[in-house]
Amino acid sequence: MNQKFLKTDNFSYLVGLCLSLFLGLLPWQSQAQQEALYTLTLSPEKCVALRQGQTCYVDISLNWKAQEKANYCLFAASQETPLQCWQEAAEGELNMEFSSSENTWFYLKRQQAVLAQVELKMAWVYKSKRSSVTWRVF
Amino acid sequence: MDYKHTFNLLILGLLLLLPASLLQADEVSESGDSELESFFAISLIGGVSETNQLDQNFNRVNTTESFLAVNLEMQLRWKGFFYENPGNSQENVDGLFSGDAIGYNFYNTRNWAVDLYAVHAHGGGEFVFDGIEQLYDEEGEPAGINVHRLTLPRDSNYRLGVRATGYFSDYLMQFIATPVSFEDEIGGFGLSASIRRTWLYKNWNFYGTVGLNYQSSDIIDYYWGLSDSESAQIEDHMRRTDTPYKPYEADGGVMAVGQVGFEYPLTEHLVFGGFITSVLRPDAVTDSPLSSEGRLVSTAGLSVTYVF
Repeated sequence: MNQKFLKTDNFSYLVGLCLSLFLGLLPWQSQAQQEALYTLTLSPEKCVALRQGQTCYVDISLNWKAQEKANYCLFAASQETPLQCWQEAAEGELNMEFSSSENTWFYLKRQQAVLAQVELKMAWVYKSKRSSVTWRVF
Repeated sequence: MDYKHTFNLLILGLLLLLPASLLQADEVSESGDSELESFFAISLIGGVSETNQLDQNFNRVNTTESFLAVNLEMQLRWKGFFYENPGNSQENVDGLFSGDAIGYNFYNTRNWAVDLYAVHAHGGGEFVFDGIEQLYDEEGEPAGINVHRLTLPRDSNYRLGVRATGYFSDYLMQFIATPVSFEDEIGGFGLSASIRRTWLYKNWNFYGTVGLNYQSSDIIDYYWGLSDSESAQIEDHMRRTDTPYKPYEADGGVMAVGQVGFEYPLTEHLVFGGFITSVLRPDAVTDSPLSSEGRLVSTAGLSVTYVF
């Protein structure tokens, strides 16, 4: 009796575990499906300035693809207005010169929904290193 | 006392001290000032240098020489102490008139950093004179030549001084005063001022620098002066009296330097650069019989620098 109860308990535990795994995987599946539905690529992914804090200039190429035709827009995180919009399109390419002094995300949006995103990272050769200490004696 | 060795020992001591201090630095604070800051770069530089020089008959001729050099640049900073070995980059490691140096940054304002430092202000070397003697055998026939070499050595000049560097948005200013020489034989004092302006066009960094460097008569005379005994030695050695190597006592003088250049980042670690530098040497130097180069020395070059 005691043994049978234990078996039932094990069965419930297994069902619960499987359910949890299934539910846990749902967001991942959804994200994976979205990633498969929408792709956004950036080239190059890094902009190199000589000195830390300088504005960095780079010619970027943004490519996106979707599985269904619709109205899409590309946005830069630093700007409210879209970089470019496409009507009833399933793919697009935007080549432009971009400048920034900090990392910038680019988004593919349909209406207000973010469908894909990619980051342009800023890098530099020389670090800024001015000290803020006034007088010092060791 | 041999101050060169003292200077080298100080550098060695600081280099040994700094890595050991790394462990301590992590425990002090997160202000960043307590951490060891380092900068290392290696440059390959190639270019041409143009001036006029004295030929064997003591006539001035224009000369253009090409060069290819590897330059190591380094800076270590910890709690205000620093060691720096100037190089080719415009990374603010060095100003126009800095040399290898150890020092201590003791005062800062928003725009200025003031350092007490010991600097390798002038390199040492020696002037070399080759006297050629024709040899004859017992029958009076030529039997080869014998080359005698006379050297007049000049020591390096390690100096103690104060350096103020001003950092403004597009400008870098630097004033240096080195009133004390570690070499009693040299003495004197040096003063310099330089200003650099930077212009940005996209990721291209262009710069122009001008500077003046005054050296007192003690310094210039040590390197470029010719004593009576040295003059006699040379003429005796060369077995000629029609040489320009007459006794010479140098005054103080001002050297002017102008430089324009650019730097462009190829990657996070690689910088492409170019420069043109012109040095206008003071009369006190060019009038010296030991000075073979002309008044204006111009150098142009391209560089590729790897920043670690």
